[in-house]
Amino acid sequence: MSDLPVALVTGAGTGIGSACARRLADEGYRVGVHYRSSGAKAEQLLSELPGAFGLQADLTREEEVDALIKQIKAEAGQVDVLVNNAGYNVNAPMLAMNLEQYDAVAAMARATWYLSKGVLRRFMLRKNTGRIINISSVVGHTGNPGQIPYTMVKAGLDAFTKSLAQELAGREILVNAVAPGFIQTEMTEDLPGEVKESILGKIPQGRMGTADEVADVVAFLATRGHYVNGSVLHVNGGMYGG
Amino acid sequence: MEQSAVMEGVVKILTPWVKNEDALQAVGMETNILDDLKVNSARLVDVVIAFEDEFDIEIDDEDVDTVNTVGDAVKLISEKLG
Repeated sequence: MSDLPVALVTGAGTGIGSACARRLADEGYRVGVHYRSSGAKAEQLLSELPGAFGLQADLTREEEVDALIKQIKAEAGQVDVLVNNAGYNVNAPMLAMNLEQYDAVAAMARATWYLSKGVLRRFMLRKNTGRIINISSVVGHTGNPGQIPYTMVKAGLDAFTKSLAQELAGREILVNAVAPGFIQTEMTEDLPGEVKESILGKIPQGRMGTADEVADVVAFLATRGHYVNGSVLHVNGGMYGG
Repeated sequence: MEQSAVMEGVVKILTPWVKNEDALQAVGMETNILDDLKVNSARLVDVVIAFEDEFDIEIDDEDVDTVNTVGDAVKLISEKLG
């Protein structure tokens, strides 16, 4: 097994997750590239990152998370950094959304909790060090029409960050969140043109951010940021200051 | 491994986390880990990890839920050791 520190990035096949995986590999981490359905993109990423290993799982299914933990144990033996990036969204106003759609989005909160518990229990608590970095969103703070379950999950993720940081008092396991604003990804590509125009009007820097700009902050929290804990770092071009 | 040896190992691991020294002096199979020994529940996971390392076993979360007394821990570890 390699002596390199290990970073697990969920939802690493695309967008912000992919950028985080690349950046952490640049920082010297052996990266566990988790994906659910973006197999081809994950395979491409794996071919570019030396020592990286792939982990396919539906994180909303407990048995698949348990198997993922076992796979990491066999493959890498440790997790030093966990980036909880995987998310799911359905864009629809509340009155046009059904309970099944709501549950599909809300399931990610439970999934993040369960995966984090497994990583802590099987890896980080043994070494008493680690970093958990949750990718939340500015919309968890500002709200966003058409994304009520998503905004609930993301606001909850920031609360999870603060609570877990306090529960882990006395250990060198730091828990923080990075809350991106509007970032150029496949998720924001789906937004209608008029919505995009309206968004840009609210961003002092006048543009969407890039996934690499989010990954920069994740890398800071993973490798430096030794006295940053229980915090939400906003990366949004000035549209919201927290 | 003899049950007495497991018991000895369990008590040794619990000792640094015990807040009630009197209960530790009178420790037995019926001694409750949280209520009698006053081990901080937030630190119970450290105890379980120490059990795993000391006895070279893996304890599932469902198993942890069945452990209330020192005797429960001894029984569980003995079962895992076969």
